Amino acid sequence: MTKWFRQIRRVPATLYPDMPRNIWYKIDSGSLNQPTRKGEHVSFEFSPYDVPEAVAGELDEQRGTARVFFKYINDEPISRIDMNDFVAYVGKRSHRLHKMEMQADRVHQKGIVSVVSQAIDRLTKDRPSQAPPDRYRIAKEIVSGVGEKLLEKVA
Amino acid sequence: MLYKGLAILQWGLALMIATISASLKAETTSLVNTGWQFLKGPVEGIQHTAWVTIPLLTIALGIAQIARNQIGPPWVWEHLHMLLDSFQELVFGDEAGDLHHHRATLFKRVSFGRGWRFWDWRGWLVPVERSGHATRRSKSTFRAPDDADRTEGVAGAAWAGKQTIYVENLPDISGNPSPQELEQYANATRSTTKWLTKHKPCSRSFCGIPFDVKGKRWGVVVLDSRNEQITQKAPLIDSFFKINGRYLSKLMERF
Repeated sequence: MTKWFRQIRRVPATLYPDMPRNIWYKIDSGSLNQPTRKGEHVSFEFSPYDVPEAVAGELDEQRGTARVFFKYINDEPISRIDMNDFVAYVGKRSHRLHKMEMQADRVHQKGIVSVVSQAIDRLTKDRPSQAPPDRYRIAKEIVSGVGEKLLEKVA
Repeated sequence: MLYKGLAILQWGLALMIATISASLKAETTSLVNTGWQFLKGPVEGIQHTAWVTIPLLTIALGIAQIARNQIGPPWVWEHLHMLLDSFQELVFGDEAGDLHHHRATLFKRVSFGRGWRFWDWRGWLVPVERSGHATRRSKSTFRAPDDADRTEGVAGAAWAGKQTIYVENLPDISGNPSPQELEQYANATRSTTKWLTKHKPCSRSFCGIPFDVKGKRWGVVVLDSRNEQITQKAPLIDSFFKINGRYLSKLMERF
């Protein structure tokens, strides 16, 4: 009986229905969130909730898409933003970047770091009032730090 | 205790609504000349007042449910206290002296102040739970309006700045501090010398961490210690949130 209840219970839409089997790269939050000292005060630029824990990439040649996933400390409702040449999934309230979908052709031509960087720049420019405290700087730094190996598949 | 009491009250109210509703169908004339004749008067009374008692009892049922939601189930409080105890133990477990000299407190941001400050709706940080047993109850509330310059305390500063803040090397003002020491402490912790003179806090360092629930800033976790230094604890604090941050947020979704 419990099994039936479990089956009919509404399952919330997940951000990772197609969770990549690629490598999740753990992020060193200490290097991204540097302290600043002013007298007795030491402040870190962001809260632990603003810095992603891990990043992963996936290249789907069949669908012609490349995806980048960011994993944060906690879950939140997501909204989809359709731009001309990419799709961004950001937190409804926090506006943190959770996922990006881009055309695989562009990624082959320019490389993942350049495509993600340009997409983030456009996102910041087109939605200036709806950006997280870091204005997507952390996401950009993470992708450029991992580099092209982001889309490598598990051997 | 109150949570369970409200649950019992809800059962009682639901039973009363069901009984009144059922009595509306009763034919009181059929009770005449039977052994149940004594019920005729009360049943008719219930039938005549049903138009007002049923809505009132339904409203009371709703209020009891809202109150229960506000209080939260006891298991959530137990788990929250357990998490704050673990946080205190992880960060300060290796420190000399008593563990209650170092505390972890969770503050929630609410619109209205508590007590005589109830009329002030600019936003406040109120204590929800604190680690340990000896000093578990806290009455300190801090202003947290949208205007960052008007925030109070380390909790208010962390809330307004949306960043993790450490304050350390504070003077010892638990005894008879000089006016300069009071002034230094007040400036560093965004408090007033009047408040410090009255409460004489023993803490020499603080850490305020903004806390999110479902992507929305919900409150602040504040660590305070009698040690002068706290920034060296940053990696431990960071790892606590990496391991338990998600669970802590999930727990607070119940409020």
